[in-house]
Amino acid sequence: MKILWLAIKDIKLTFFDWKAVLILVITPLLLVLILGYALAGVFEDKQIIEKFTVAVVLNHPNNESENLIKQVEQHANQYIHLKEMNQEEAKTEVKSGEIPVMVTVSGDLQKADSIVIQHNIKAELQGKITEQVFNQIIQSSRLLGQAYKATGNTNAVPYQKEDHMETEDISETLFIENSSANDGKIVSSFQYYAAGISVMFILLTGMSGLSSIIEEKKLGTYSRIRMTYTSLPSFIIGKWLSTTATCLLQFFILILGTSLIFNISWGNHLGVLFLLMLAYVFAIGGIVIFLTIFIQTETMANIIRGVGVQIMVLLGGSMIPIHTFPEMLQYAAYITPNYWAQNGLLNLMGGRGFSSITVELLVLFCIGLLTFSIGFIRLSKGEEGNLG
Amino acid sequence: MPDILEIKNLTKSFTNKNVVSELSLNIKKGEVYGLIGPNGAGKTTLINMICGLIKPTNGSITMDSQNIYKDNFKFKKLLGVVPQDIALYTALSAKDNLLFWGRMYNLNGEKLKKRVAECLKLVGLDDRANEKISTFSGGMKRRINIAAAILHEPALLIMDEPTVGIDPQSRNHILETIKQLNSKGMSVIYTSHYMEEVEYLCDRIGIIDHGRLIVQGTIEDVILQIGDKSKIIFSLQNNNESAINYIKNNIPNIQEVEDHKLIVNTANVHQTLLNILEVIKDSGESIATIDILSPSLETSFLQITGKSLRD
Repeated sequence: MKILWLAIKDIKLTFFDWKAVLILVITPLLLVLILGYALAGVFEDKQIIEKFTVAVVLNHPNNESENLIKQVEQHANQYIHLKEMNQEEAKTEVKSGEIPVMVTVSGDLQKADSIVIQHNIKAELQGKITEQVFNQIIQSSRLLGQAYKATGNTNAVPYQKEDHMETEDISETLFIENSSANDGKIVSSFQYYAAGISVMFILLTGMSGLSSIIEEKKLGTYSRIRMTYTSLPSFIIGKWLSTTATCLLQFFILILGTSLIFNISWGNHLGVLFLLMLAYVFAIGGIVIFLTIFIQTETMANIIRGVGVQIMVLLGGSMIPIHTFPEMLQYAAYITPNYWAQNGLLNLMGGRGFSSITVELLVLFCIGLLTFSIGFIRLSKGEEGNLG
Repeated sequence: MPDILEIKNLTKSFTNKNVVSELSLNIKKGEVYGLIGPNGAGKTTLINMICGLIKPTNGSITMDSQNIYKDNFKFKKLLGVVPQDIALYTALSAKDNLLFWGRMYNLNGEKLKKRVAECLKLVGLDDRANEKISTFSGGMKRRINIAAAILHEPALLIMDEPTVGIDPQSRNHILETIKQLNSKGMSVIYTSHYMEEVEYLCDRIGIIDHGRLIVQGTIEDVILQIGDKSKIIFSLQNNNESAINYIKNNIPNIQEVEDHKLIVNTANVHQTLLNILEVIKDSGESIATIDILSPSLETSFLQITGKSLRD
């Protein structure tokens, strides 16, 4: 029962502090709102940039390359206007800034580097849009090709290779709305950022649990608690419980807020969503207790909150889609709990169910159990431990 | 009177340095015991050991004849601690703080509510119960700090400098509260840097320095044990040089300090005073001012430790 009172006290302290409430609830909603507005054009068929001309250079044109250009013209005419010209002409136009982007398409699209996109130094955004448009057309053609192949029609398998495109000065995609969640339904950028920002803020909230332990030591309330009938393990579990409960509460508010305000869908499996939330906050709570072994001062806690969390957020793909990272960094993301949580959330948002997040659940549960166990055993030693 | 707390040969070492060394003392049931010593003397370490926050390297602490480390929880029931820091949650109200601390002492339901109301009344803050601690003055915070320590009605209350940095009104209130608690049978260990508080409250005192108990007893006993003398301080009407020399030559243990003031240390005030008056008459001078200072706890403390208590 004392554990519960310890946790309730912490939750009260958190929610009595309007600044904390602001960070916990309003800031993430505001961030989703900002990102939502930033990408509003994508969702409401409004263009966030005026239609622009792309110079097309066809080297050794054949059916494949001409078909590609035709498809681009057909599907992206609201964004770009294609103008065929020769290499020299196109380069001059792009260099002078008359035309922002040029695309050089080689005859054989099966070959690597068959499409090269170049843009004027001031037209980075247009360059990215062009890249995205070509990428999408090629991807859909590839899927179509696979469908043809499956039905035995091997004569029509266009653009099978994935490394056919080379870009200059372009290293990342602009629109996220076509990120697919592990072959499931496509998730929107609003959904992507709602998931990313939620896991990021839950991580930040969790780390404030760490600050709360340090603050109790500084205030003398921790020593005072130890002078009462409250045992050290009760104190640790109380802190863990308040951290996880606060995170869970924030998660609920964020899901409710993003659903009601921005009409974001978190999938159709609310029970599974709740399970994933539980697993994530369990992992965060465990990490907080584990970090208490090492983090002794407010300065160290602030560094963890300021720098450590930011690294985890970036690495886990909460701000920038992880598929744009180099392969090594994509593997490194596996060590962050927010990566697994976000992945699971995207799967659920993509319309998939429990089976799609079993690995995520297992990993998060293991992270939570392992970190909590080590932290609890170490800290329960009392005087000799770091809480002594 | 039986002992409520007995400390025997207590030693605490940190990295091979004894912070508390072979210290023995006892607290009697129903007494207010003043624990005094200069900064760094080992008082806080001793209190932390009594509270069970740190374990001693050697020695024993028994409370009601039971070793406190054998049944930690039973002993905590008997002990209340008012820490030097204001260990409260300032974002919560006074009442919420007391409810929380009461629950940490296993109080609940009606009993908890009743105790919270009683303690708020005792410290004179029942009308501010629902206000946040952050809005309170330093003195009011210290009073709630005390209330939080007595919710479970401990038999022994340890108060570590409970009046630091507060206004006279709150200080008086705190001192009267301690008197009131003691009159109901609660034993108190009181540490302070204010000698007048110790003299006002304490039945017995113990002076600690370098981790050792130097002296223990009633205030009168301690002064007597230290053997400090009274001081007769006087000045002359005309400050005539030859008269001053005559007085100096005829009164033993006399010293001249600044502004022609003369001081005589004596164990027999009455006899020395008669002697001084006679010598002054013989010298042809007359007295302008005269002052007699009895030995005090402050002067005794200074003599034992070589430091003022507030150093």
